[in-house]
Amino acid sequence: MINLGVLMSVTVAWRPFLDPLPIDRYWLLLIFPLVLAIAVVYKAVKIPHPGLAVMTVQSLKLAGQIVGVLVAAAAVLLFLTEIIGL
Amino acid sequence: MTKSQAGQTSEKKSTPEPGMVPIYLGLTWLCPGLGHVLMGDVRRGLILGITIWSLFLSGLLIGGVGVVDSKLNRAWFLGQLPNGPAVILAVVRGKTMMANPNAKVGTDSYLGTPDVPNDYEPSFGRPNEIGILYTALAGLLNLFIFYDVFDRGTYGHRGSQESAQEASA
Repeated sequence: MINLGVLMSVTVAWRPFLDPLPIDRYWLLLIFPLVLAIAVVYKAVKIPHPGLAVMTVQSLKLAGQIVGVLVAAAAVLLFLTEIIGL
Repeated sequence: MTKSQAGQTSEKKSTPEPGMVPIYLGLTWLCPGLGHVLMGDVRRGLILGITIWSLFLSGLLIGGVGVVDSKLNRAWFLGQLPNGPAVILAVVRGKTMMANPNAKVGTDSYLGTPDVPNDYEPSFGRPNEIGILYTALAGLLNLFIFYDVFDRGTYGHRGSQESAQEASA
């Protein structure tokens, strides 16, 4: 259950763009908007006539591929460092 | 790829003049996406502009204005440099928001002291890292857009068939 008192004290004190956001617990999730932005920009440049439908499909596809490669790279590094112990 | 798959519309585009390319590039630096809009590619310009601005503002929202710092994060600032608003922000922040703008980097007074604080809260750890990453990536993606503006402005809009082949690759 959300403690409204704590929530109020954080939101009232927080000044957008001047104070950092408390994202220490969720920082890894912020990879998704980052990857999506890269995919959207790349596809907006490459697609001849960027319509909503084609941009959505192509961008999500590319973003998925990038996330997939990142996960695979992380798995390989985890295997090398934690399991083999290089 | 068929015509409908490529999202092709009957939108008429003006042919950009090669002599105007430096102006388009300058406007792209100042406001990402504006170069494309002025070249007549409004939809592409809006998509690129909204994406780059969202990324940049998200970075500032996460880490605060302190993430754009030409002295403290010099290497990352090179990545932020292709984004005009980042440079403007760095100048404004240094001139108006710092309590001790002439303080040396590495000293406490540079980040603000309890007695004389800066007008913003400096970020540390993950918020700082993510904020810097977002803003630097917005700059680097704008660099990619510079290339596209130069390409389209100099050689004109490429044929649909050629571009469609590139898009499907």
